[in-house]
Amino acid sequence: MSPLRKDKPIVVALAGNPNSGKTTLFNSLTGSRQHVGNYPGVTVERKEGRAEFEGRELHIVDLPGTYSLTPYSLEEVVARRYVIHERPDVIVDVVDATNLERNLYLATQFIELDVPVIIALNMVDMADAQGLRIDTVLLGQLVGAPVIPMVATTGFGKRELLEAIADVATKYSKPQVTISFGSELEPHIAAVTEKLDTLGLDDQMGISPRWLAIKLLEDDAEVVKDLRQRIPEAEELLDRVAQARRHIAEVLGTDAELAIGDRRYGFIAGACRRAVATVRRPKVDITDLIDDIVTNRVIGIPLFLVLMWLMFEMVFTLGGPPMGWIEAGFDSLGTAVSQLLPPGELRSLIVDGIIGGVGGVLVFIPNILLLFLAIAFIEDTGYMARAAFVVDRLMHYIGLHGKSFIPMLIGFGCTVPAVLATRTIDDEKNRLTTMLVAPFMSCSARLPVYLLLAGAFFAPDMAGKVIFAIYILGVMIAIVMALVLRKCLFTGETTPFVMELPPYRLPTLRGLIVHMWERTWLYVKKAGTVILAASIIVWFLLTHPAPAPDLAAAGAGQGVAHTYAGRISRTFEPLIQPLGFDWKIGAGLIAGFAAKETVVSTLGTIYSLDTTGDGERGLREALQADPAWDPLVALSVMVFVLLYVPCIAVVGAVRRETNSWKWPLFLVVYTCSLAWIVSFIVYQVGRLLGF
Amino acid sequence: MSGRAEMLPPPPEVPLVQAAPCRPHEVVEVRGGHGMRRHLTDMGFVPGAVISVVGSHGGTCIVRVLDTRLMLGRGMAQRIIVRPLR
Repeated sequence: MSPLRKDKPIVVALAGNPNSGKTTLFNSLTGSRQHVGNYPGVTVERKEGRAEFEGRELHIVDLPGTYSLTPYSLEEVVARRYVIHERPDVIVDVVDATNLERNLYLATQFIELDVPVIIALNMVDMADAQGLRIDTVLLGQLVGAPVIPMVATTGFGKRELLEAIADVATKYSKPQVTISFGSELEPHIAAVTEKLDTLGLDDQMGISPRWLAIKLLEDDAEVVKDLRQRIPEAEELLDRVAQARRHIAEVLGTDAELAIGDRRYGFIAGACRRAVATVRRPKVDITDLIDDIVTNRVIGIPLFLVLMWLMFEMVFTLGGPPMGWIEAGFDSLGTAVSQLLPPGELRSLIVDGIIGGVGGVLVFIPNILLLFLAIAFIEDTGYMARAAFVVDRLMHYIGLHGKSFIPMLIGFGCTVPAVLATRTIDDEKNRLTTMLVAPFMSCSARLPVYLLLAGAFFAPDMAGKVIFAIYILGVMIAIVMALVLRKCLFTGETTPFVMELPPYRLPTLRGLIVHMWERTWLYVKKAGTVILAASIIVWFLLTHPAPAPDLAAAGAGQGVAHTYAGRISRTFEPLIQPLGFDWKIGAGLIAGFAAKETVVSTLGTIYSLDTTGDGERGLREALQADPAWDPLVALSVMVFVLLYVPCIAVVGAVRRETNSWKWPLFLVVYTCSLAWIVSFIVYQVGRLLGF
Repeated sequence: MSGRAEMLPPPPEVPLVQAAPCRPHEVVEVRGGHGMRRHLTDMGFVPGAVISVVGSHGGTCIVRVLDTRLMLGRGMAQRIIVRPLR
């Protein structure tokens, strides 16, 4: 490769450890000009964006966080592959200055790879606060790449970084240093490198043969595989490598890869000793202080429960008033449209179908926003990782571990991002188990159903308790099912895990909003697409053939009994009668497959009323008046809605994340069966007890 | 260092899970499969590294290594052998 022409865009890859501030830097550089996609064939996100500097265009790729170029997780595989196969013009390695030695471990591997790399030394303000003085010029000389001090959250150093990028790209400056691995390892590296040279590999692969040699001695699976595919003489070379590894193990008493890792740290330690001075040790480390309390054996779990309770309180209390406003807004909209359009199909479609259906969903946006804001806050401050630690012990009893906690927490907002969040779980068995029980964390879409039914059939002071009980039931069932799944389907030891606990930080407002919005947007998108489509379809099925006036006058929703929807539901009615449900409930539940909010809007349409604003109280009264309903039926319905199949968006997400139809199908079947069984028990036992 | 110090027996090696909290320890050995050991190396657990246990909860530990705090699942903490530093 040769130095870059002035008119081509510069391709910059942002690499670095998780929690190093890489994404903050990415956001700062690209602003809103970002695009999120997928790496082909895998479920790892690919984030790209554009920036401009002095007339040059920059094409920036935010690679997944990685600790090393010898990958352990799927994210690391993807990051490595990108660097090696797509050959960016410059690599910016974002290094956390408060965690220099560990972060430099990745940097040394870029140096070994012999590609243009810049070290963005992030969080220098925090390093300063901790009493560290880093001589970035000297460090750059020792390590062989320019070191740019930065504070990504404030933009400090951004200009210097952009200048360095342009400079390195145009000159194609490669690292000036070769890391020596010591007198025992170097001869082996040299021998393997020579062998690779004679096989003409560097031309073929465009990668430094020395790097390949080191990776072979580290027994890097991908490099080995790649080599076998490319050259016929691979086996001979690999034999030689195996010989070298054995020799190293004998002489040094430790595996070759550990020896190599050790030498890297040795190199790093040497460089840091010279370039980093500790001016003063802070007397206390805030993070340790807080951790002492938060992870304390005795206080940890109760504190966690209190914080969770506070979070839910805030979400539902603060979310109340805005919900009212939105409801009123849709009301007025519905009235306005009713006045503008002549009565007929179009008006009914818009008012009952679209506004009634979609409006019912969008009403919950304040709640969702607040919930995701709370979760973003917990994550960005760093408490989330501690919460995972605190619940880890409890999770072990059901065969999961702390990392499963985060997706479950997100599941209380919306199951779709919860399913996506299981990506952080490396262990396949744990991941699948978590994905399959996350839907039991009652999502916010089911809440309208509970609010409607509990409000209609239980006294005001009881209603809240009933809803709370439903949530708890969901959690308990999740626990039981996790146990069952782990004992029967996904048996075996789980791979142990390592999780980094970042130091506590006060999150930036911008970071929080970006974080929160990413997840809320999924919810809004769902509303705009699936629910809209579902509402229209449901409306159509419920209004064709047109209800006869005399039947409608009879009340209790009989007016739609003969429509398509009515007929379909009545076919299923015998199946759900043992649960105390009639065909109208069946219709609502079937519609609920599209989205849980549709259960309410469908019931509303069935009782020939729309369900926004006044309409909702109207629906409540209609339900109370219908002899098919009573408190026990309401309870049975709530339990069924809690447990049965999650919405189509979730099924779709599970299919994408597991790359097969097997699991989503299993999810549908087992949740419906479970719902049927538990509802049956609730209803029949309730009747026996005389309710 | 007086001659006396050299006659004392070396401190016992223990799995991380049994290490005394808040005292510096030195990593002696990392057991387990290749992938796991390499991952731990990437995180800073190399023989000779100085670590200290910050807290633990039923086998899961929080460990300080190279300025980072890591949470290790129980299986992990049993496979890292450490020795207290004097």
